[in-house]
Amino acid sequence: MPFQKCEKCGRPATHKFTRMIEGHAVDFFFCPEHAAEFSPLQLQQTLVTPELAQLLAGLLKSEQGQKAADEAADTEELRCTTCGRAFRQYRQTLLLGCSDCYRVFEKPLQDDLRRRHGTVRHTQKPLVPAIAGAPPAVMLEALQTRLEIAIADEDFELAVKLRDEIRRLKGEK
Amino acid sequence: MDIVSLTENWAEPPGPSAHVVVSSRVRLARNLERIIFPSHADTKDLRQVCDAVDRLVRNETALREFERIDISACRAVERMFLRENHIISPELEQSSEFRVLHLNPKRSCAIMVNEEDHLRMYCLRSGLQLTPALEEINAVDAVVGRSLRYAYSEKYGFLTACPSNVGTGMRASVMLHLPGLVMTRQIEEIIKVIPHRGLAARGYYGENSEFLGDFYQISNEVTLGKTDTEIIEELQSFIEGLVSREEAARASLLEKKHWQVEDVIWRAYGVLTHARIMSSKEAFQLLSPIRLGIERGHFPPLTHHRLNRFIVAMQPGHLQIAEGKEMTALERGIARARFLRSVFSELKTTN
Ligand SMILES: [Zn+2]
Ligand SMILES: [Zn+2]
Repeated sequence: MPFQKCEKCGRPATHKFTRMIEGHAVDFFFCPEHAAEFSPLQLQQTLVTPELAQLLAGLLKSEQGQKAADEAADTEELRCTTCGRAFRQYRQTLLLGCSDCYRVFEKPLQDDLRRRHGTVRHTQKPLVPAIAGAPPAVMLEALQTRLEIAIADEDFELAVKLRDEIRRLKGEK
Repeated sequence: MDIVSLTENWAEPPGPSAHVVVSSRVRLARNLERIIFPSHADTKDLRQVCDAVDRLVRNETALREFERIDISACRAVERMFLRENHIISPELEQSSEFRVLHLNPKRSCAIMVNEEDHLRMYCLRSGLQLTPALEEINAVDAVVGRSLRYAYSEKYGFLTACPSNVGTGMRASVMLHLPGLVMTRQIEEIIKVIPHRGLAARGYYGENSEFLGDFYQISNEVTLGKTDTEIIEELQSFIEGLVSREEAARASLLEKKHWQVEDVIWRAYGVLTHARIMSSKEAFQLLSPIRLGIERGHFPPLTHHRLNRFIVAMQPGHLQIAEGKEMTALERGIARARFLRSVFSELKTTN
């Protein structure tokens, strides 16, 4: 029998939460425990009843084995050296300790960001500052700064775009 | 400093769509680069943030008129008073040392220091005024961001203590009064679609509060992947839709349930002018139909924004400051009933 797993813990899901993302309805599934974090008004029941979910969870456990559990435990113990906060603490309070936490916990945070915002990327204002007729020197300086930040952030996708834009501007000059 | 002189600005001049929209608020969450976020910061960090903002406010012409209020030095009842006036957040009310507020003279705009994030800057406007609120707070942000370096990444935008605010760091919210949609039983269905639009609905008191007196706060949940203007435009258009639905519901009630609604309004008036003990929950339930009665012309001297003031003035902090003492729940119930009885008995009505 096909069933969905909880987005947060992987147990069989009894509830569905739908959000519109860029015009598409995207479903998120939750077990009874994690569904309780939502208002009942926001949720729809799935075909799996809580009783059935419990039964399935038993089957699932033996199937998945120890590996997934170990991985999850490692994530929980991940710690930011700047502020000393462990990922486990973030799970409890939903608060990060400092801006470096975003880098240290990047991987496990992706799911939370996607669930909450439907994306994991900030939308930038256009690459080139929208100052009508800004002198190329001003634009170049702004782009150069952003390139440095992008490289520091290890955001190479953006860095490539910025580098191309800088080349283009220099070429035109 | 006289805390009692500080009341919020939105309740005074009526804003657009005041019959449905109580207020609009836009807040920005910002953190300073290389300083631990407040929840984890030690005294040194907290003081550093405070000092940096103090210096900035002193030196920037645009901020020089802002009044500095040391929240940590306020008495509990004063903090409660400020929170009830929507001047500080519940978070700032609860927290301890190095919590400071810088408030502009118009009381429309403020910088809260060491809240959940180092800086929480907001603008509060009466009625439906999201874009003016965004523009006003963006101007403050531009001045602050010029001197202080924000924690920012190209990928995630403004880095906030809670990832639910990351990106723009902006939350825009609108407080609505929707008795028509409640009475015509359309509200449940509306509440259901709200999360699917990247929005959230909360009660009068915000986070985790129940829906009281047909007041609903609607705000954006999504802060990442969209620009602040896109978020504001989407929220604005959703709210405009709600305002027209509420107007249609009120018109249909007037036509089809005229006497039933009249009865609810005048019964509320009857209780407000005679009750001896009143809980704040009951008061909310009674003031809701009164607000509807304003539109029907039953209470000519009463305006929507004056009623908004009554709601603020009947809250525990306000009652205790007015009476000059700490009060038990029963004493507050008695004081609240007395206050509402006095304002409503003096009111000219068409009864
Ligand atoms: Zn779960
Ligand atoms: Zn950290």
